Amino acid sequence: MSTIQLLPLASSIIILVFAWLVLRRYAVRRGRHLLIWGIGLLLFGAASLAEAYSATAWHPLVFRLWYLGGAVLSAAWIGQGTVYLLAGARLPNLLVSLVFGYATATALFIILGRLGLSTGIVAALIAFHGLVFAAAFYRMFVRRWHPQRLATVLTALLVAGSLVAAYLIFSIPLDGSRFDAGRALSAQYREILPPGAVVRKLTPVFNIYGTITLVGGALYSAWLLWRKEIAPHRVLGNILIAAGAFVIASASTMVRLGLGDYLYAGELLAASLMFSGFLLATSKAGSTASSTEAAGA
Amino acid sequence: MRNDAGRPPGSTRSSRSARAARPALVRSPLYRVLVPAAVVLVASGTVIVLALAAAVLLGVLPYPGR
Repeated sequence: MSTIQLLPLASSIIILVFAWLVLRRYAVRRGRHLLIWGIGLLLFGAASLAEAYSATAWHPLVFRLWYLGGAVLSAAWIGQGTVYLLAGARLPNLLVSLVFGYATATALFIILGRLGLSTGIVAALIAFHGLVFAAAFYRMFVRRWHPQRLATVLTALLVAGSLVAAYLIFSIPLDGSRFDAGRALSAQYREILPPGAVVRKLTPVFNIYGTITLVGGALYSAWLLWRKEIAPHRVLGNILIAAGAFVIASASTMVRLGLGDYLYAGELLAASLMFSGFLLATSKAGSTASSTEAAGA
Repeated sequence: MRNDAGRPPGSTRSSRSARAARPALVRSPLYRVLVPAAVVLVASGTVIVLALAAAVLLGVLPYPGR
């Protein structure tokens, strides 16, 4: 068995066991964040299985599922679970406002950028107006809304975005003749997708949102518990989860910079770190030492 | 009638129980230093990664194959 088959297979086993434990926890405790995490992890696991399959043969459906589940949606859905967990707390609300402020500014000035403004000016305009829009978004909506309402609105946006991404990836033609079973999908997907496909421009938007919510949420939980001097297991567990999310975000960014060969190893490391963090955060010693569920997991 | 801590008998907020609520690991100097260091490290790394991703998205950095 080759490395490009073994690595994603190992990742998928870890992630699917992780997803099963999270969904079993949801069946017992009924926290909506657990359900959303479970969905995100299933997407991650399905993408890893698609990678393992693609080391043996080409199938367009498998490729589309890999791109949709792994490259576009999994980080955002896992991060969305954290939004449900922490909605209402001040810092996470500010983070969400920043994400939407910068998303709005980016969309606006990329459109204006087509009018002939230089890249540097567009970047400076986005940097300034992102903060302005974030402050406005926080004051007008986030601060006034009930936490549950905020989480529901964000989930509705994520579902709508996911459907658009699914439509885009299932409606574009693929060039299967460029597929090489001996290479990682992340190292050759650009040649298989048509040049300039819109879905590729959507991918960083989902991933930036997922990274900010997942890493930010886990670090916020760890910091909160560390400051209160309780539940060290949850503190360490959350740091491991944040480190895992950071590793997968780094690997994804490397793919965008043309270094796709490292993605499978990054996925395995990220899966191992996040799963270890989950096990540590939900261990008996951790849960008996703390009375707060807001610690994550 | 009050106990040694000056609280009524049966009070759960004695200094002994307050100490027992703090796990040993929390009092370790290594834990006190390493946790904030790890939080700052991961947060800084994430900001750099996000900045790179945003730079690719905006076209400041080249997107291979585009």
